[in-house]
Amino acid sequence: MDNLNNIDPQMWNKIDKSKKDAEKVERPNLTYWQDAWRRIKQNKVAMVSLVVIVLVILSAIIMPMVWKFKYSDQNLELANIPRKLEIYKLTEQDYIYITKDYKAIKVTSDGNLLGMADVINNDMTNRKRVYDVAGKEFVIDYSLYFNAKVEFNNLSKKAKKDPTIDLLAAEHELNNAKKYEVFYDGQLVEVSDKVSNKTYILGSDSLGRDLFIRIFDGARISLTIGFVAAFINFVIGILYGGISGYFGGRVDNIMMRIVDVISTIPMMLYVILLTVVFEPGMKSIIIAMSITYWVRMARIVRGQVLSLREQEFVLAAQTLGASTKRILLRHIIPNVMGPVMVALNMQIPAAIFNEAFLSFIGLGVSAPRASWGSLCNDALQGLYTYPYQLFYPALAISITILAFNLFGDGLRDALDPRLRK
Amino acid sequence: MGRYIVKRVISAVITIWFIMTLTFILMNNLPGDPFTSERQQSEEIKAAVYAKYGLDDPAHIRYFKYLRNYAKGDFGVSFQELGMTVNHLIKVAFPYSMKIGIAASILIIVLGVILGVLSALKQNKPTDRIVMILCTLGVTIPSFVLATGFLYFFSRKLGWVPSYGAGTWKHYIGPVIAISAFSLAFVARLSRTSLIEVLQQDYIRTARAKGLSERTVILKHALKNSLIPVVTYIGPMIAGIVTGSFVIEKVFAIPGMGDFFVSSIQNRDYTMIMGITVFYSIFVVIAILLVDIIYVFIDPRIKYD
Amino acid sequence: MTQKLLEVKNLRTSFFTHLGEVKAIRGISFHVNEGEAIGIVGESGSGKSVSSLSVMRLLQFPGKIVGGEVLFKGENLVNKPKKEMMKIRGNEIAMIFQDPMTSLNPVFTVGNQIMEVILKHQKITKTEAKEKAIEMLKLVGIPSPEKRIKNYPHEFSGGMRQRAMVAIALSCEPDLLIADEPTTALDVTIQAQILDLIKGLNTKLGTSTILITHDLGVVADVCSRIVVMYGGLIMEEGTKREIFYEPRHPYTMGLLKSIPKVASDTKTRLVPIVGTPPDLLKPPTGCPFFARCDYAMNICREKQPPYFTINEGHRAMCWLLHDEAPKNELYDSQKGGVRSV
Repeated sequence: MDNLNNIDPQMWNKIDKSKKDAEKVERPNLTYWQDAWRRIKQNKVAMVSLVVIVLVILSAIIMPMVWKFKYSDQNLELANIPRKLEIYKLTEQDYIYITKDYKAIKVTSDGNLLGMADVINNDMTNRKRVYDVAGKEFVIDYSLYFNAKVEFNNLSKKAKKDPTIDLLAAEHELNNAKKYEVFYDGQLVEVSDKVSNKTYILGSDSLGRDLFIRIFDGARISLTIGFVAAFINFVIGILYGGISGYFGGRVDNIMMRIVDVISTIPMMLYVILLTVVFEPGMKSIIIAMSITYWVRMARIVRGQVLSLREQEFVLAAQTLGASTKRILLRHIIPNVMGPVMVALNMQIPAAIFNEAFLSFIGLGVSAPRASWGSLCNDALQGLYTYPYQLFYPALAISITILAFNLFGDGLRDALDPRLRK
Repeated sequence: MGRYIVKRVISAVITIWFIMTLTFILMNNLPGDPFTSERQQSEEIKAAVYAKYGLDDPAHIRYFKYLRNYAKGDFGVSFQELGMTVNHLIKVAFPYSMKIGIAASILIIVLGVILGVLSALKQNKPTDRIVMILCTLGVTIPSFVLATGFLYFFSRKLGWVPSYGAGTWKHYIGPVIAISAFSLAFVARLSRTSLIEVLQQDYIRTARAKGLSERTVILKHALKNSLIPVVTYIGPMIAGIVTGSFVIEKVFAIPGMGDFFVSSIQNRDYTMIMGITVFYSIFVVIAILLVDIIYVFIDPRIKYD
Repeated sequence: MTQKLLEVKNLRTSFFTHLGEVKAIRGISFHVNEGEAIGIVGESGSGKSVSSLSVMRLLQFPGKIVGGEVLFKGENLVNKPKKEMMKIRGNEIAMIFQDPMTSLNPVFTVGNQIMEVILKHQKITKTEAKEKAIEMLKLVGIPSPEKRIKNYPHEFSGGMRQRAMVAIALSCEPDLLIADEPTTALDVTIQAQILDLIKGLNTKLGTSTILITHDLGVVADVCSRIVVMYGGLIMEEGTKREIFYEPRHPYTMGLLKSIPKVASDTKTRLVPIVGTPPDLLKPPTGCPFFARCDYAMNICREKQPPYFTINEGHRAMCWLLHDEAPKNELYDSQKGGVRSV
């Protein structure tokens, strides 16, 4: 207010219309999907997840075609060999890896598996195995572990009478004790190097099959089941919910009562029952999951349709004489797609999860094929000795589910109309 | 309120009937007679099962026989192991599963809500971030992976807990954690979202305008409202615990009902599978019914729906 | 008599969103005398609700008072500790909100929600609080209050809920009642009842009242003084008579032209104010109304006008009131307010 009295006379002129309008803030007009895409692109976590999903799908398709092994290729001599090998250097050319069941495997210095060494003598009474390596004797003496085990067994018998004995600690000690000693040409040898397994980059399973390719082949099965089951759920759900919501009234009432009844049933039990009835396998898992998990989708669609039905634009279409089919296809379905897409995206990981669960309780695809769940199940037997056999398939499941979940969260945020600005 | 409860009970009875009929139809359509399978049974079992299920009778007579047996509380016998019945399992094995289930339910609800509330109140702060990351992992890792991982590290590597069986309380730590993880993470996320939404409601502003302390506003006005969606999740949670028990009891070698169920599946012991499935379904339906009744006390609006 | 109960001085409030600082209130000053009812009028987004929430210190994250003073009984509320603010809220200053459907907690009984505020601020027993709650419900005109206090909000109609809100607000006999759009969500007949109730309480109990609304018709009935807000600023302030019959700000004139007049015998058209309020993320440097103003001059865009006092207590923020401003016949013709139309 300092210069309230010295105002430029120009200032008192009426303002130009253009200057007035310049003040208006123009926001670009984006369609629903453009806006959603714009927002999901800004969400880094969601985009990374999308990339992960695409990579998993692509490698599931490509890997089994190009990899040196097939999922069914097996070599019993090279069973249960992990990703990292502790090797013994015997001569300049001869390196040996010892498996957890005391087999001597010949390897190259950089980790290529060559096969089992020639057995000279398997002395069960003295807990010794003798192999021939480059003309000299190579001895694995595993009596150490055997004696410790005998001691532990005695202790656990005593523990039944004497509760002060800490069996848990003793067992722990036993598990972490040194299990064997190795001699070459009469000399005690120590581990000389730790190399990566070049033959089986993620190790081999209990039948000597390549874990790496089995995981990618498993991805094919798990993802197929995930996508197909989710898609069928989606179709059934959208039809059921759409019909229920569109017709409303009595039809809706009866259809929703049925859904209420179905939704209180613990579905997993019936998926199990159906899989048992249809004989386990990929087809029966898909069928079982398709006819059970559509309820959620149906409810979402029905709710959306019901609220949309009352809205002006549907009314307008009706007044203009559009047919029921046309209204449903052209007006309602495009509008319910947002929430449905989110639900669909959540259905896929749920289906993968359920498939893994079924395989884990022995209702999975039949051998030699394996899904992620059955790979985990197979690994359970040797969990303590070969934990890597469980770790990698479990990691594959978790990463995939995580990616779907995070992408789903991003999708939900992007498609939520309440967040539109 | 009375009307609402009657309605819910009727609906539960219909659901149970539906479940039983569905199960009967499914089992009736098994490929071939259970006895034509390659698995061998003794003549004694065969006779007992035939007497019980009247396998020679036409389907509708068997159906009524089946309904009558179950209505009397007889859930059937095994056709692979003489003298084994579902009722015997319910008596011997189910208590183990129940123990784990109850402990898991308490853990899920109490810890889940606490974590969710904490997260919501510290929205976008480090506490919230950490809880949400854990929750995302919780719904990502399958329970059997968690269970085996737990066994490997805490029992094998560290030797803190026993690896199998169901003797002491220590035996239950792993199973309860593994079975709870998914639902716990879910409840934490649910109560967080719900509390954040409730805190933006007009009635919270009203409560603050009354001069109530932030404590009262949150613990009285916000919490009760934000618990409503959590209560609706209890039904699915119970179903989740039941199915979760199949793998968890298998991994931890707990002689519970879930473990027996999985063995029956692997042995294709059809009568056992049927009996246990129906038992579990009825159990879950009744549990959901109870939750629905409790719900009335949390949300007064439900009475007039 | 003309003791100032509440005095707001140069209050500024902003919302710190991820897009930037939204300056919702950009320096407003007004006061409420003891026993007086004033109205704050403006369209949505003008900052009227934010100013009431600022007075109560009820702004939620990311909202924050960034400057100015709120003097209540001579004490500044802006920097009062939370504990003391809690003693004032609901007790000395009470508030009624716009939507009675959502302003009551659905999971507690109405009685519980009235008793709660009484028990919080007064040292009395539960039974006494219950009696008081019944008495309050009777006061606001709810039939058979003994039964009604056991009801949940969803068992009340919209009008009854707003009555219950008034009961909550008045149960501790506050010195100041802030009613934020108390009738907007209600049917017309119920609106009149609630306004009568608020007006009656103002005259009977002597409770000072701030009535916030977008509807000039509503304030006409209840308030003696009116503050017109736009774009986070006060555009004009004056007595009811001055605002209605001698408006000086083009925005006030526009508001007056946009309300229907039932009693009018001539056929007049309702004239909407064309355009939308300014974006307070980037508030205009000049007058916030210039883009929608029929009389806008160059200076209106460049420089925010000062307040020009027309009479004692009647001021307006408009360059047209400047001595050097050119005569504008159209503008002058509107100076008679509602009479001239």
